Amino acid sequence: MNIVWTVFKKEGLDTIRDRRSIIAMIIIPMVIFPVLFGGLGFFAIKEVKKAREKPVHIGLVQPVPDNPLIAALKSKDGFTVSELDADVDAKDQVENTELDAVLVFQPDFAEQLEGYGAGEMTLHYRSTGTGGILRGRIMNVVRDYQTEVRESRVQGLGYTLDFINPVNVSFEDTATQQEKIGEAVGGFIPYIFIILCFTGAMYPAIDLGAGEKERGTLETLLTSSAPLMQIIMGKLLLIVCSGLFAASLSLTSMAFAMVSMGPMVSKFAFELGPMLRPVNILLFFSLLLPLTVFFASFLLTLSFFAKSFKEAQSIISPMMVLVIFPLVFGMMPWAKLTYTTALVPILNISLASKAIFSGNVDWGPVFVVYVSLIALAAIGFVACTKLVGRESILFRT
Amino acid sequence: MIEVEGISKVFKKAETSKQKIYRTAPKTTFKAVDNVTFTCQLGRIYTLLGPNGAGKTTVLRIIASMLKPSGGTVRVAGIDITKDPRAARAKLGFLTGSTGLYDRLTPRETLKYFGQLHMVEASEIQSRTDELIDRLAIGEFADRRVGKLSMGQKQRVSIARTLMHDPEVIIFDEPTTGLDVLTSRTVIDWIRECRTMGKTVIFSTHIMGEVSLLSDDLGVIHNGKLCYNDSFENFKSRFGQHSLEDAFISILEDAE
Repeated sequence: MNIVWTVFKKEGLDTIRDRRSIIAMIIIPMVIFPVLFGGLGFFAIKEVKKAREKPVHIGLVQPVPDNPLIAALKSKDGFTVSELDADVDAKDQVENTELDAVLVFQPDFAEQLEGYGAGEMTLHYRSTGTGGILRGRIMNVVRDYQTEVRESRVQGLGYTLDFINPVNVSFEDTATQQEKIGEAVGGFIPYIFIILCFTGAMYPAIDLGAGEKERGTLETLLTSSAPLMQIIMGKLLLIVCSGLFAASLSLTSMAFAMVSMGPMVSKFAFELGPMLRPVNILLFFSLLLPLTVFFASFLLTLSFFAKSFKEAQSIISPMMVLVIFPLVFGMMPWAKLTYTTALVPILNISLASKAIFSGNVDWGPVFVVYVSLIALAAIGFVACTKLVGRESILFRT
Repeated sequence: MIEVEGISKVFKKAETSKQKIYRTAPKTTFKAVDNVTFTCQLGRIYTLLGPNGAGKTTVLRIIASMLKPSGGTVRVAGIDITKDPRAARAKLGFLTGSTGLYDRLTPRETLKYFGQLHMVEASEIQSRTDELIDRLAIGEFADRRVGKLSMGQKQRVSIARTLMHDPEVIIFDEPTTGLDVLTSRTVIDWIRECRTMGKTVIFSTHIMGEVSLLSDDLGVIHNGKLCYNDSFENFKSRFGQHSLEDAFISILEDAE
């Protein structure tokens, strides 16, 4: 074990002096959540707020009916209404002028309403950007007017609104807040952590295998009297630690981002807090550990197989897809942890974490996930030590 | 002492992508080393001379127990490398022209690391490091990262790394390849120094000038076969009237 520790210490020192590994292992995990919450989240929220408060400029194409709806639009705070000539092109007005929306009324709009019919109008707007929010603001005024007309019509007939709403339903959601958030974002958390764990392990793995070949240090290493198995174990240990370190760092950065930026960004970030209880995090990392051992074994084998650093990169980078695909599948709301999905690598950890974070755990399948991940790690480790020791891999040219 | 008895090494021939896909022919093999026998004596330098691709590196890798021989035996300091490769490796040092150093470690860290890998006692690592730093004049740059050193400085660190565990046998695999004259001279001087220290030295090269500078014994290898194996003195008396290069070509022609 002395050699394992010696190799681990040396590779650790070598890795922390490597810029590429530092970026993948430390910089990216550290900045991703502050950027996500503080940067993107902050700007997204700011944009939505701006769209909600921004003055809405509406054009009404003549003839404009004499109707309370028009008065409601004109008197609404933040709304500016202009009347347009009858021959203007509404689409052109939205696209090429400062107008946010244009309303075109059917000529019989007012008559229809007076005769207990439905007045027809067309709202021209641009749905991209914050257009949806602007449409919502206009429709709020329209809906208020609709309610008013509906009420007066029903009352005119001597009835209450129950006349047209015969069944009133009230909803009682039995799912807890944690379950709801866990369902919505429970798959997202392992997605981020597992990818960062993989990328955190990737660069050290490439450097520790193909890098040794490229630098010509492999020969000197192999002629030392240290057992090859222990050298490989030392390297694997470093790769595992790098992956877990990247995942832990991203967790710390997420916690930091939530505490410092969450409240000002959104309720969502704040509500993630209860999901990330120490026991949940501990459970997640206990699942992540065997997966990382498998990642490390797999990556180191491929890295030793490659003839050069560049070839290792081109072999290993596409492997990211193999990691992302089951993770994306696991994020789907209908994907559930069962005894079958518990056997599918990566998908199982994604689904198990989702269950753990939402607090809705069925321990039977979770146990199967542990067993299958440990088996996978063991297979990966044995395969790595057997394959890396082969002359055809070590001296592949 | 190194005793090489009838070693051979067979490799599978690399296939083209087309061959891999269509499997038009059975996999072929080629013999990189064919029944090679020689002995390197203690306190002498054995030069393995041969053109590129002759099989020199394969022979040296087999001696260093990096490659398993397909046939034959090798004993390093009396230890059979196939039976106890770790014990054999503890007795040998290996140096190549590519230096085999870690750019992000300092020379001092490199020496410590290889001392630990060779399981040198912790107390001895310190004294041995200090001694080698002093003997190879590394002190000035002992704490600077290897990547920032000149080629000559790197080669001195590489020699120190090879000697760290005080091996009985030292293998130099084309140690001067790609080096300038001055750096090559440092390496040549150190190969001589190893002989003075009483070590068994095997040295491979394709550079004629180095042969006469260093050799006590000479082996000429061509197409995996050893076609000359005798003392350098005998070689000179046999081919005295010819230049070294002519003699070498004459041996290769006789072998073909």
